[in-house]
Amino acid sequence: MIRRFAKNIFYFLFINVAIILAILFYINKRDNKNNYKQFETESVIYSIPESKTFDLIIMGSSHGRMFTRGKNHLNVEKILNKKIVNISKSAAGIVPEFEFLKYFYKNGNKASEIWYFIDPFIFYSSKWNEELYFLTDEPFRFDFFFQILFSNLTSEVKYNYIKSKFSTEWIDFNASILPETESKLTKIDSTAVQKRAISVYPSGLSEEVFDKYSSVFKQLIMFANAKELKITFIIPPTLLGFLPGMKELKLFLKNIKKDDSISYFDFSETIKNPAYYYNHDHLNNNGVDFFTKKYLSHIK
Amino acid sequence: MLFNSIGFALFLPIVFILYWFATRGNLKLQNILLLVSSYYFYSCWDYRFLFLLIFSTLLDYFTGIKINETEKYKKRTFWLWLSICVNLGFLGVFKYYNFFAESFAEGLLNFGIKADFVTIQVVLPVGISFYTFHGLSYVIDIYKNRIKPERNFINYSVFVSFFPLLVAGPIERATHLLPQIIKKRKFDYSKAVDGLRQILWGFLKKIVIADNCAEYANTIFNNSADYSGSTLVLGALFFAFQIYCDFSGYSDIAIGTAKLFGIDLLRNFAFPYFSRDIAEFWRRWHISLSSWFRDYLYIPLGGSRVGVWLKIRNTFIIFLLSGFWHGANWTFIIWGLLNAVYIMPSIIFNTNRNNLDMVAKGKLFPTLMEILSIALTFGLTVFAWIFFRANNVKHAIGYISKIFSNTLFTIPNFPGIEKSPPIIILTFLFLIVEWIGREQQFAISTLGLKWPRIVRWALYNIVILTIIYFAGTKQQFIYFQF
Repeated sequence: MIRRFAKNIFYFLFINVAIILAILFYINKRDNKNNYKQFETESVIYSIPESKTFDLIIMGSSHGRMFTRGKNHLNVEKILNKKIVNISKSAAGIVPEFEFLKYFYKNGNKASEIWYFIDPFIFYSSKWNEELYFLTDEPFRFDFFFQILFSNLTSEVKYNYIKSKFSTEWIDFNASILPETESKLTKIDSTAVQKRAISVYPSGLSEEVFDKYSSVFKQLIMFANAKELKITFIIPPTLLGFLPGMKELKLFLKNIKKDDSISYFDFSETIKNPAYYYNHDHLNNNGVDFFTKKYLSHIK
Repeated sequence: MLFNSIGFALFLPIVFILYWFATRGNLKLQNILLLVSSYYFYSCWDYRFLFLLIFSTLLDYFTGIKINETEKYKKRTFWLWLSICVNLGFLGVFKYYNFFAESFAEGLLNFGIKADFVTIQVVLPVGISFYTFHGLSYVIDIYKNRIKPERNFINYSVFVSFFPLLVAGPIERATHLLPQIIKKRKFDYSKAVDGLRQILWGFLKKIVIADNCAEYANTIFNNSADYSGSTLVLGALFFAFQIYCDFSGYSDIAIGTAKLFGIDLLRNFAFPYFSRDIAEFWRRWHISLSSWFRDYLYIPLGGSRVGVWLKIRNTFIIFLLSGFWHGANWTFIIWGLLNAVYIMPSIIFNTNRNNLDMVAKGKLFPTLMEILSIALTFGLTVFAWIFFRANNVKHAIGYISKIFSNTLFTIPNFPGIEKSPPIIILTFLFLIVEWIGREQQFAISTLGLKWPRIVRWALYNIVILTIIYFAGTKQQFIYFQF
């Protein structure tokens, strides 16, 4: 009886796995035909070409992504006179970002340097590193899936990568919608600032969690050194004020600056005019233009 | 470890294979395996609370033996009360201490006395309300000479901590579960298939209906001041389906999982939203808890064999405690009391056992009178759920006041409403399947059993693809917090 049961379960699972694989193969084939430019989509994998050489890789959370949204990407490339690939992603901490960087190299690409737009809050919560469903708006690629299968991303994130391809959103996929970045903030709303500052620390401030993710940063630096990539950490401007954990972040960057060939710049307090922001946390198109010309263009 | 997690999807097959293949049918090994896996399952939440579970198990194991060893009433009563006090003491500290300390301080403040009680920052041990009630029923049953104590500690521990029921029930009775744990179990093909079907149905309820309804209910309840009366009605309806599908879905998965190991657990839900009156609703909703209160509290208090006033008192006590069991919040207490008020007419006029059978038994359609009765009962239940879901009493009152405003007759609107029609349609389809299968143990218990295998498997695949395709954002099971 038990053998019959096991046999039937095996057959049933086999059929289901076969159906799922067939659908994934179809999606993989369909998605590979899509060819989006970086500024047309939030999906990082679409931004990663094969065997290309770039001057600069931009990494980070939304603070890195904003340099590619809308017309910013081409504008920033022009100002800096650099060929840029942007692999940063909204709400992404170091763990998913490191996976994107590895995938970039796996595809035979090369670059000279990395600018990592770094925030203190990504060191303090698994939400930004292991729990959020970073991969739901990424196309399905078997090679990327096998890569992340053995990564630090949680099994939920990996499962959701597959599951998300069975959603209506993905079936109708036309590259994810980009947020509006033209608008201007008229004034600083202190309540909204406070709310935002709290929301980015969902797990509080744990030293243990900080140590966990700072060790991944050290791995990233080792990886960059092995690839002869110059790495620069940049604390971006915001209207959120002095965020919790900023002191620890700066200390961490100072310490690794001593040991490794990295540079870091703190621009957190540089732009206080709300007209350069579309919300309290992100520069609008004018802000990106101003910040790139006034500050980033001087980074050597 | 959640039932709807990758961890459980790996854990269950491993335990199943070891249980039926590695133990070679040896009952002792099977029970040891169940105990070890249950403790592992529990420690995935917080291993520190495992010690509390083991302590509670040891306490009831020994007090059970002590009660049985003596004939003397005083000694027996002493051991019984020791178990009750320690068990409820733990429950009180972890679950109710802050509530009492804060409520008492607020009460004193009304008399102009400022008192600062120390509140404790402690996480509620998952499942404590459930395993405490397991243990209590065992000790009380020994005291009442309904059962003999179990001398084998492993067997007793499996009874308390069997992983499918450990964190959210059904609340088992020693008289029902212990004999199954002691008896040699043989693999039963039909039971295992039935279990898998029940698990599948439970996942559909939880992942498709409950998790999707939860998103809408949360949006509406968390910003209730911003929405119209009609939207708030919709929010309450979403919550009604969320809580039913969440908890009964959990129970289906638990019962189905237990069947894979050859064990039958108590039924916990029997299509409560098809009830024609509140008394019937409470015979169909969270049955294992309702019957626990009936057997260990209501009947010892005199039950329905006493006069009307005592019956009223007993009913209020039961519902008050039932509300309080759910959590240390006035909203739960009001929810319990509201249900006591609802049931009162049938207690006074002795009509509470009018609807014992399933509605429209043997027929496809109900009568008009039955439809009206079901609608009224459902409406009252949904109204009470508002208190259950609200953050506090003020929130609940605000929510209800807004419902009965002139915005009640406007078109509902909230962020994400454009995505809700498929979920509303699925909920209707789900209700139709539940209606058709309402005389079974669970809705799809016999559906398609006589169909050719290929058609039956196609149906299972459709259900699986529906779960994957329509899966809502993963939510914690509501009853884990209790």
